[in-house]
Formats: sequence, structure tokens, C-alpha cells
Amino acid sequence: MRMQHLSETVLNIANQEFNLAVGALMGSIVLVFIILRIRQWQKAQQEKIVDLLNDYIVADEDNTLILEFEMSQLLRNRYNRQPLIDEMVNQAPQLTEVSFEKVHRLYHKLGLSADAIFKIERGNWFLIAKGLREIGAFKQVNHTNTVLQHLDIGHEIVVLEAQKALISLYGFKGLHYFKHLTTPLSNWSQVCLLSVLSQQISYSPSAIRSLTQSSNPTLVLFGLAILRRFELSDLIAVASGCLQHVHPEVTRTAAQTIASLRAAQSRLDNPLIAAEADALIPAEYYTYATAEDAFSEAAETTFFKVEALQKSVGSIFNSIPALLLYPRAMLLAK
Amino acid sequence: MSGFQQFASIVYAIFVVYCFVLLLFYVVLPFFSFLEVRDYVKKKAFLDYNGILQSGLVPPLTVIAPAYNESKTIIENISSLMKLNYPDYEVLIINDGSRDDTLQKIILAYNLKRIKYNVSTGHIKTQTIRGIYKSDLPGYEKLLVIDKVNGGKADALNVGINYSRHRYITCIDVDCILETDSLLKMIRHFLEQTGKRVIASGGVIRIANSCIVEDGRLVKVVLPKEFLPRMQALEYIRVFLLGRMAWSRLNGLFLISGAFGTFDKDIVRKVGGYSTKTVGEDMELVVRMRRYMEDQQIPYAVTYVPEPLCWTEAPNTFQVLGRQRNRWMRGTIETLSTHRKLLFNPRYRLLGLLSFPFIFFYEFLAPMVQFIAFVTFGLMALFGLLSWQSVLLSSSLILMTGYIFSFLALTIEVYLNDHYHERTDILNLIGAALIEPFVFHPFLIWAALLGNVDILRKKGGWGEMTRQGFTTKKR
Repeated sequence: MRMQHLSETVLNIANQEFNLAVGALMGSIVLVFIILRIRQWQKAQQEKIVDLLNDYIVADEDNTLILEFEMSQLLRNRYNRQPLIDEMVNQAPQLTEVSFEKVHRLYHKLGLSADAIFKIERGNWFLIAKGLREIGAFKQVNHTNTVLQHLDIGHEIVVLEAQKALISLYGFKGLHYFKHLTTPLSNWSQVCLLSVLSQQISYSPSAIRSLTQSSNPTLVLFGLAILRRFELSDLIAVASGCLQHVHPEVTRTAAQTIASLRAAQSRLDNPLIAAEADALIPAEYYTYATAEDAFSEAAETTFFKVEALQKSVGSIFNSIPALLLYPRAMLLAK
Repeated sequence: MSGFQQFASIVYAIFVVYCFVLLLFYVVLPFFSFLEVRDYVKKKAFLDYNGILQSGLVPPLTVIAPAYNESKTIIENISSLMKLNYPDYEVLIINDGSRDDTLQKIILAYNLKRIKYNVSTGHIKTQTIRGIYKSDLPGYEKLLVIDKVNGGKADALNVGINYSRHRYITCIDVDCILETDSLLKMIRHFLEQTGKRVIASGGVIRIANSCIVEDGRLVKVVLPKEFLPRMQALEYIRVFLLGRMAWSRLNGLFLISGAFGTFDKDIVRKVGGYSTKTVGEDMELVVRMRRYMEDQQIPYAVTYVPEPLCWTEAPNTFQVLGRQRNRWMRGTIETLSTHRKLLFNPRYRLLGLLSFPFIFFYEFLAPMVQFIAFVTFGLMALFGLLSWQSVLLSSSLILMTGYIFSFLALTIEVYLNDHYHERTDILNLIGAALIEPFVFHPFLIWAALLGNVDILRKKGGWGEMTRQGFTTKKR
């Protein structure tokens, strides 16, 4: 009886659900093809946008007008608006000054500049991040306050885009705004910010110094990463100032930065000898278990070998890399 | 009520409950998977991998590739590994006592010289090292070949861990083809960590059968033309885009595929490296690492990149596929047995209460439940205890749920990736999904059952895995 009852119950449920399942099955097949169609359309539109924009950048005056008209026609479909903005933003950092000005003008002419703030006001993290990116890419300095509002709080990508926008707007000087950041700056954020910084022409020593004086250790690490990345040997004192930091990782990175800056400096001063010193790290050390083990031993050996080299050359150079690699190796060995 | 009726009644009730929970998973997993896909697509718009290359902040990484009797393809494989787009990495090829001329071929091709070496103590115990070789060809400085006595894949990987110089290690199957940017995409998660320590990261594995390969690089993606690889292509799409995506969303991933995974070496070493006592060393390692982090109460994450980063050749005969699935089942059972303490243990939170029970009920028990249910229902219908209508209707419902799951996976594939973008590809995959429950799936159940039998008979080992090789573009 119990068996029969169970069977009947299942049968009843199954009967009711069967039609629903058939419907869902058909729906899911249709969904695959709808998504496929949309993707194909998006891809075709994207290719069209890229072609138009590339043509526009190299076009002469007559063609410029024609292409501007074509793009305005393209924008009659609202689904083309964001892909066009995205393409402009992506291309902006790689353009020459003249081409950038041209794209910048087009951006305003097509009425796309208002989109950034419109998106930020909508409150979705994805749109806010896009808006901030546009502000940075097209140097909309008048929206600095909006950018600053998102510098330290919110979705991780919004925060990162705000930080990138600030650097795009003010270059190295934008780093002055960073000193009060409370949230940790991940290595990924540092990588992205360094990428934006590498597009800047001049650097600001005071801004870098302000980073290294921050109470946020990740900002200090970022400041040191800037020194290493751009080989700012004249700011070696800034790195030295971090050697007494309470955070052990900062101290270690500061020592590495100093060694790296001095090595870079000596490469500039004595390129031949520096290259020879670099080549002295023996191949056997490849098999050490950790980079630290290998490096500390290699640096120690290198120190003595370079000392001998120095004597044999008989030249006076105070900044031979190995001399400075030695304390670094000792620090690492600790 | 006769004894058989009582037994049938219990089996039926268990099956209904089991199906209900499974159905619940089928609803919940795509939901979480959808959330993860949506977030990933949004995030992807802001990712700039070129910036990483120039930053100087990318941590160096070691690629560890064990090789056993890979003479036919080893040179092409190594050549592929040397061309990855990553600023600082070393490639460790571990020749695991190959019986063919794998080592000789590498020595000749890359002009390898035997070098002296010195290893610190306290490392993972492995089989004896016979020699370490380095190339003196320019451009191959990052290649290191270690020849050792045969000890299995796990042992070879442990040698790689011992000799790797860097904090992050990527363990791969040497015959896989990696996407050029795969290492960059993998390391991103490790760079992003602030609150939680990322201990491991995996990516989507895809089937490379029928794809065109040139100089160790995948130049054209083609949907597998043969029956079994095509079925596996669909299976991989479903597993990686629905299952693992959802587990990744929940931070409950319990498996990083042995074909391609990146790990924090500190943690790998702390837990003792890969276990040589199991044939499912990839799953076992991740479970052990998670267990360690839970024991130490350190916040951690196991992450996942939902993009195809690694292409592998799938078995194209029932015999080889059977061996592979048999081994996977044995690996699962061994992991479950080693870490049985985790099951429903609240101390291990998500791992103990959800991930591990899922492995137990839906990775280990599923083939047995399906087999028993199939046989019992058949007998019940035959003896008039259940109406045929009821059996057919229940089976159709299960079948359709499976179909919907497959089609949802296809939808995500089309939305997320651009590999199978032709309408014919999609139609072929839909066709594969429709056939799968009648041919492919029963075979997998059978292979898994044999895995159970082999465990009972204490039969170990990998079984021979013959490969056909990739389709190379003719010039």
C-alpha cells in the first residue's frame, strides 16, 4: 500500500512537472540561439566601430566630416553608444597627442561626454567604474570631486578606476590624494596604477615622498615600487627613509629598492663592469629551493668575485652593484 | 509485504530524496554560476594584462611539467611552454624515468648540459634524482630538466616543487597546450589578494582534438569531429562553466584540474606536497590545502578563471576513456577515505558541510545510485510493482533536467567565450547533448563502477593512456 501510494504521489508530481520541463527544455534551446545571435550582432557592430574609429583617426578633413556623420548615424542605435565609448577609451592611451585631440573632439561632438556623470549617478558599480574610466581617459578635470568621492570606498574596481582616473588627470601629482587611503592597495592595483603612471611624462618627487610617509603600509610599498619601476635613483633617500619602518615587508622592500636603484645607477655609470658583475651569478644556483636562498648565496659569491674584479680593473667606482647587493642579500637571508 | 517489496520501497524512497536534492543542486548551481559569469564579464571589461607585463611587480613563477614516455611530442610541448607571455618564469621538465628516449631527445634538441646542484634540506621526500640539465642555448635559460627514477606523476610534481625557485608554481600536464596569456590570467588572483590568502587557482580546460596546432600553439579551435571527444567537449563545458563556476562563487572549489593549476608553494610545502598514495592527487592536494587553512584558521580562497586557458587531448576510444574514468573514481574514493573526518564536520564550515558531502554523494555515490535505481526500477516495473508509465515519466523528467543543465551550460559558453561560434557547432553540441544520456553517460557510470570494484580489489596504478597527438597545420 505504502509503495503504491508513494508511486502515485511521484506520478502525480511528475505529471504536473512534465509540461513545465518540456517548456523549460525548449526555452533553453531557444535561449542558446538568441544569445548566439546577439553575440554575432555585437561582434559585427564592434568590428564596424573599430574600423570607423581607425579610419577617423587617420582621415583627412573631408573624410573626417563623412566619418563623423557615419558615427552619428551609428549612434542612433543606443546599443552602439557604449561600445563606441569603450573603444575610444581603450585607444586613448596609445594615441599620439594629435590623434588624441581628434578623438577627444569627436567624443564631445557626439555628445558622449555627459555619459560619464550620467553613469556614475546611476549607482551600479559597473557603470560607476565605466564613468570614472571615461573621466580619466578624456581628462575631464571638472569632475575631480566626483572621482575623489570614490577613491577609498566602494567596489574594488570602482576604487581602482577612481585611482587610475586621478593619475590620468593629474599625473604623478595625483598621488598626493592617495596618502589618506585607508584600504590596502593590492598588488594588482599597484600593477594597474604603475601602468597608468608609465604613460606620464614627468614625475613628482613630493608625491612619491608623501606615499612613503603614509601610515598605510601598502601605500609605502607602492611608493617603493614606483621608485624601482622608474629607476628614480635621485630619490634613493626616500627609500632609505623606509628602512626603519615598523612593517617588516616594507623594510625588506626598501632594502631591495635601494639595491635596485644603485644597481641601475651603476649600470648607467659603468655599463660594462655592471654587466660583467651580473654575469657572475653562477648557474648552479639555479637549483636552490627558494629564490631567497639562491640569491643570498649568489650575492655573497658575487660580492667577492666583483671585489677581485674591481682590484684587477683598478678603477674607482663606488657604486658597483654587488657591493650593494650584499646588504640586500644579508637582509633577505634573515 | 514481501522482502523484495520492502527493499524496493526503501530504494524508491531514497532515490526520490536523492533526486530531489540533486534537482536542488541543478537549480542552485546554475544560479551561482550565472552570478559568477555576470560578475566576471563585467570585471573583464576593466582588465588590462599588458599593464602587468611592464609593471615589474609580477611575481616570478615556476611551470612544472612531468613527462613520462612523451618522446613523440616532447620537443613541441617544451617549445610551446617556452613561448608563454609572462615576464619571469622558469620551466621545469621532470623526466619521470621514461622508458623511451624522452630525455635523450630533449638533451639533443636543447643542447642540455648536466649541472651541479645543491638542495636545501626539509623538502618533500621523492624518488632519487639522476641528473639535472640546463640548456646553454640563448633564450632557453629558463629551461631546467630534471631526470629522476620513476615514481609517478605526484612524485614528479613533488620534485618540481622541491627544485622550483619561486613562490608560485603552475603544475601542468606536459602534453597540454596553454593559451599564451594563461599564466598572466592565473596570477591575477594571487595579486588581487588582500583579505584572503589565495592558495590555488584553476582555469577552464578544453578539448583540443581536431583543433589545429602549429609550433606548439593552438591556431584554430575546431569542435571535435570524433564521437567521444565531442561528448567530452560538451561534458567539459558543463563541468567547468556550471559546476566549478558555481563552486568558485561559493569559495567551495575542491578540485583544480591536474592539467593546469597554479598554487602558493608555501602552503603546498607545508601540507607535504602531492600525495603519492592516490591516483587522484590533484583533488587530494586541494582538499588537504583547504583542510590545512581551516585548521590554521587562516582566511583563504581557491579561485577560478572561467576562460579556456589550457587545451588537452581527450581519449578517443572507449578503452582509454574507461581507464581514465576508472582512475578518476579511484582518486575520488581515496580522497574521501583519507579525509573522511571532514564529512559533515561543522569545524570545516563550507568544506565540511557542503563541498565534501557533495563529493561523497554526487561524485562518488552518483554512479552507484544511478545503476541501482536503473536496475531496481526495471525489475519493479517488470514485476508490476511500479507502472511503466511512472518509470518512464520519472526517467523523462530526469533526462530533461539533464538536458536543461547542458543547454544552460551551452548558453553560458556562447555568452562568455567565442570559441564555438558557428551555428553548426552549436547544433552539433545540442545533438551531442541529446545523445549523451543514452550512450556516453551509461558508459561513464560503468567505468566508475569498475573503479569501485578495482578499489575493493586493491588494484592501483594509472593504466596506459595512449594519445593520438594534435592535428598539425600542413604548410
